[in-house]
Amino acid sequence: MTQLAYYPGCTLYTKSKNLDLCARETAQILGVELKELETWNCCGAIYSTVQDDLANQVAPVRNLIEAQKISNKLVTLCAACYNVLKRSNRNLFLKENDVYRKRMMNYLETEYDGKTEVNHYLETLKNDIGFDRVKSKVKKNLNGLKVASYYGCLMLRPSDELNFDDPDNPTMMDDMFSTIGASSVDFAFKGECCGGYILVNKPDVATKCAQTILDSIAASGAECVATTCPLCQYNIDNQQKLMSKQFNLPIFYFTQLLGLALGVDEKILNFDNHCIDPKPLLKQKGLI
Amino acid sequence: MKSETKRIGVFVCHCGINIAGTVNVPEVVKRLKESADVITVLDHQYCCSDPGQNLIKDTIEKEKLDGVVVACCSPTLHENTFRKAVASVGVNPYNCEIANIREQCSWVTEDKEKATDKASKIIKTIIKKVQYDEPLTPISIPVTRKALVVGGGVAGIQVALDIANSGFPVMLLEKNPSIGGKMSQLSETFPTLDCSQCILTPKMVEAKQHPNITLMTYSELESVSGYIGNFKVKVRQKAKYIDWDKCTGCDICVGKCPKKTQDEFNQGLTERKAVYKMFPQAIPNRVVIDAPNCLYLQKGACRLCEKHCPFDAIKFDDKDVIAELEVGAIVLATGYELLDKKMLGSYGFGKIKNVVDGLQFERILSAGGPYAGEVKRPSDGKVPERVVFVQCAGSRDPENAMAYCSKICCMYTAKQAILYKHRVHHGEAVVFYIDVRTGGKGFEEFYKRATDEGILYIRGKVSKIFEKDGKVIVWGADTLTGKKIEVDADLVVLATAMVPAAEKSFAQMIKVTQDEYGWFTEAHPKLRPVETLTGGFYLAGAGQGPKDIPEAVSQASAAASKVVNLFASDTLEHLPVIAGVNEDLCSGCSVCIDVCPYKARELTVKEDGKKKTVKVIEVLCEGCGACSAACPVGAAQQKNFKDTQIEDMVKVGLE
Amino acid sequence: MENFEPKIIGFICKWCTSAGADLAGTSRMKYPPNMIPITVFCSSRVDPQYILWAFKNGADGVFVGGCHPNDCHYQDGNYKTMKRISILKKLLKDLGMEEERLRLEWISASEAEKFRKTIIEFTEMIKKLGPLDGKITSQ
Repeated sequence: MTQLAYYPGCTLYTKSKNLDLCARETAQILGVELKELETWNCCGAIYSTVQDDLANQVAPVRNLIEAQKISNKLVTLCAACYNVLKRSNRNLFLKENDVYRKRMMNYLETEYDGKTEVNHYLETLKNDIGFDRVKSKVKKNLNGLKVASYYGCLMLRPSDELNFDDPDNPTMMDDMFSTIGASSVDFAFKGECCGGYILVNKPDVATKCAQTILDSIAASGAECVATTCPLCQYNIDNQQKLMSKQFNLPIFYFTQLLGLALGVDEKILNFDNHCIDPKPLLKQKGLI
Repeated sequence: MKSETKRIGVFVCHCGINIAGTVNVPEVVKRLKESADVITVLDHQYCCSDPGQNLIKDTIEKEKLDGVVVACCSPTLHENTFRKAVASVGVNPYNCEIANIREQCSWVTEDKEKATDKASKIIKTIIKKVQYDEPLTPISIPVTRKALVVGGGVAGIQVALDIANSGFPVMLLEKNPSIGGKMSQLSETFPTLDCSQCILTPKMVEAKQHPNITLMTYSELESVSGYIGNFKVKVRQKAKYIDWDKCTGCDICVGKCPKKTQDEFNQGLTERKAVYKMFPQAIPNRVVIDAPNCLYLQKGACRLCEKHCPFDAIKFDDKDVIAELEVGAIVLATGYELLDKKMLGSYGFGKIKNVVDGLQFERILSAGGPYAGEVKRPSDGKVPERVVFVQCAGSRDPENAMAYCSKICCMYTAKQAILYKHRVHHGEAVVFYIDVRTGGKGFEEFYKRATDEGILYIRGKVSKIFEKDGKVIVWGADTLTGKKIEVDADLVVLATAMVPAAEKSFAQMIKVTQDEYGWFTEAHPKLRPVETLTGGFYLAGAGQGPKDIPEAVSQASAAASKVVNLFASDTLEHLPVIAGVNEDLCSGCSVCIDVCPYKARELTVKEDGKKKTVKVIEVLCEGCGACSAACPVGAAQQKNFKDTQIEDMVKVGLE
Repeated sequence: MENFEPKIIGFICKWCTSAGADLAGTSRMKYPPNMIPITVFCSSRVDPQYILWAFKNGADGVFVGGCHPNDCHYQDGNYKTMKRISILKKLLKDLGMEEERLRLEWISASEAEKFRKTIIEFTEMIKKLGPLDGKITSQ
C-alpha cells in the first residue's frame, strides 16, 4: 500500500474529525495510506502567508520537513492549510528570498531542501490514484445525484502560485463526481468567496456572500453542494438559517459523498452533524 | 597595410550638452592629442550639422587625412552621414568610423570624470581600428524586381496595388480562400460609418484585375532562403479540390452539400457547408472544399457536389502544390486576431452564448451576417433590449492578459453602440470603460455623438459576467461614484485585445524579430516604422502592432515605397565588410566552411592546381565573422575587423 | 578592496546587445562605466583568444553579449558563441581563475533594462572577486 504523508490541520483534527476519518477510509479503499505526520503544528493560517515575518514562516516549514520522513508528497484536506503550506513552500525558494530563507533556517533543527510537494487530497485522487481507479472501487452508484461542486477561493487563488486548476472554470471536483455516478451541475460562482473568514467579525457580510453562492446553485437545479474546504462547509451550511430565503440545500464535504460511493460506514460519514439535514435527500435517492 | 602611412583625424562632437554636459570634451581632445597616432583632433558642437560636416571635409583636405574617427552618437544614427561626407572629398567611407560616446557613455554615466575616462578609451579603441582599416568598395548584386506580399487584408492589398502601379510584378499571398481580411468582416467603419465591404471591394477587384498582381489565395509561405534582392521562396498552394479554372462560383455545389460545420467568416455564429465560398463578394469568386469536413475525402461517401456541378469543376484528386518563386522584397501584412477565449474565463467568454467579442458583434450587425443585419442574440435569436459593451477586455491588463492598449476598441465600441441604437431604437447601450481614447481625425466628435445619442458610459472595470434567469449579469464598478454596479444585460460585447496573427514559428522561419507579444519589430520605432532589421523584409498593417484602417493603409503605401526604392535600380550594393581568405596561410582544413551560416565559403584548389584552399562567394557573405573566429591559423579574416585590429582595441581599452 | 575599480572589456553584438545598450542610453539609464564596449557584428566573431588577450592585458572581467537563441541576425552565430564560451570557462577554471569573470548574456535590442541590470551586477561581482592581478601569466 502506498504511503503518503498526511497533514490533517487543526479543524479536521478536532471539530471536523469525521471528515478526517472518512477521508482516510476512502484512501484505504483506494490503496493509499494517508499516514499522519508523527508531529505537526498549526500551519499558521493566513498569518503564515505574510512573507516578511520570519517567526510565522517557521510554522508551515516544520510540517514540510516532517513530511519527508514519510514521503515527498504532503497531502492535506483543508483548503486553507493547502493554500498556506503550498505558498510558503514556493515563496521560500524564490530568488529574492535567498537571504531571508537562510536566516529562517537558523531556527530549524533540520535543513529544508524545498522538495516536499504539497497536494490537496483531490489532486491525490486525480494524479496519484486516478479517477479510473476510483470508479472501479465504487460500490454504491450515486444515482445521478445532482451535485454542485463548490471550490471556494483558497483552493484556486493566487492561481500562479497554486496552479490547482483553471481559476475561472475549475473542473477537478466536477470530474471526480461524474466518475462516481453523480451528475455534476455547473454554476457561475464556483470559486467565489463564501465569507467564511469574516464570519465572526462581519457576519452580515458573510451571510450575503454565502447567499449569492446559494442563489446561483439553486438556480442551476442542483440538489446538494459539495465543497473542498471545511470552513466553507461550516459557513454555507450554518448560515442558511440566517438567510432571508430558504434554500434547504445540504452541504457535503466532498469526501462524505466519495465515502458513500465507496461503501464507507455511515457512522464514519456522520450525516448527523449538519445544519441542513442531508438524510432526507439521501434517502430519497436510495443512497442510505 | 601599415598604419604609419595613415593620417587620422579625430572629431569630437559636443552634441549640445548631450555629450559635453557629462564628458569633458576639451580634456578628451587634450588626451587624444597626446597620443601619437593622430594628425589632428578637433571638436564641434554638432558634427552632424552642415557646418560640422564642412569642418570635417575642410580638415581632410587641409591635413590630407585618409582616416577619420567621429566621436559622437550611436553609429546607427550618423555613420552613413559621415561616411558620405568623407567620400565626397575623396576618403574611402570605410576608413571613417564612429566612436559611440553618447548612448554608451555620456548618457549612461553619472560621474563626469569617469565618463571622460570612458569616452577617451572608447575613442582610442576606434582610432586603433581605423589605423588598419583598408579602403573597401561595395559589391554589386543584382536585384530581382518582383515583390511578395504575405497577407491579403486591406494593408496587403494596398501594398500590392502601390507596387504594381509602379510597374513591378507582385505576388499577393493569402491563407484564406479569398482576400479581404478582417475588414471584409466588418459592418461599418468609424468615424464615417461607411459600409466596410463597399469601400474595400473596389480595391479587391482592382487587385484581381491588375496585370501586375498575381493572387495566390488558399496558400501559405513554406520557406524563405536567400537575401535582399535575391530571395528564393517556397509557397504551399493548398489543395482546393476544385479546379478554379472551371469553377464559376455559381454555388450549386454549396446548396447540395449535406455536411455542415462552423462558419469561420461569421466567427462561429452560423454554419457553412464543407464545400463553401468564404463570403459572397469573395475574390477570387470560387469555392473550396474543406477536406477535414468533406464526407467523401474522409469516408468515401457522398460526392453530391461532383454530381451536380455543371462545369465539372470538382477535383477530388487535388493535392497541395509547392510553388517556387524568386522575389527581391517581401512585405509582411499578416494582420491580427482577437484574444483567445481561454484568457477571459471570468467573463464567461466561450461558456456563455450571449457573451461575444467585437468581431462577432460586427457579424451580427452585418447585412451579410447570421441575422441579415438585425441585431439578435445568439442563444435564442431574441432582440436584445440592453447590450453591455466591455472595453479593455484583455488589454491594459498585465497580470492576466496583454499589457498594451489595443488602440481601436474605444472607437469601435462607440461605433457598435451607435449602430445598435440605430437598429434597436428603444434599446439601451451601456459601455464600461477605463479611458476613452479618440486620437484620430473626427474621432472625438464621433465619441461625443455616441454619448449624445444616449449611450451610457460607466467608468470602471468589469469583474465578473455570469448567467442568471436567462439574463447575462455584469458586475462592475462605477469609479466616479465609488459604487458597485450590477447590470442585467441581454447581450454582452467584449472589446477583446488584438493579438498578432503570425505565430512565433513563422517569424523564426523568416528570421524577422518579434517582440514579446509577437508583433513584428520595426527597424526603429520612431523613424523606420515599415522596415525590419532583416534586409528585404518590410512591414504593413496590424502585424506590426494594433492600428486602425487609415493607419494600416498609410503604412502599406509607405512599405510599398520602400520596396519601390529597392527596385529603383536593378543592382544593389552589398556590404563589403565581409570575410576573406589569405591563401598563404590557408591549408584547406575547411573548419570555416562548416561554420558559415550562409554557405558562402567553398573548398577549391590554388592556382598551382594542387594545394587545397578556401574561396569566398562574396555575394553570400553577410559579414558575421564566425569563420574568422573559427579559423585556427588566422587565414579567414574579416575585412576591417581583423584579429590584429581587435587585439589593439582590447589593449588600448584596458590602459 | 575599497577603491578597486575593475577593468572590463565587453564584446557586444551590433544587432542586439549594442542596440539594447543604445536604448539604455536613449532612456538615460545609469550604470557603472567600467566596461569598455567593442561592438562586433555578431557574438560569433568573438574568438576565445580575444578573451584571453583581454585577461592577459589587464581585464578583471570580460563580458560577451549576443542575441537570444533563435534570434541571431546571422542565423546561428549565438549558438557557436554559447559553445565556445562554455568550453572557455572550463579552461579558465583549469587555469585557476574564477569562471564568473567571463560572462555571456543574451540581451535583445529592446532589453535596455536587462542590459543595465547585467552591467551593474557584473561590475559588482568583479569588484567582489577583486583584481585578477596577473593570475594568468604570459606563459
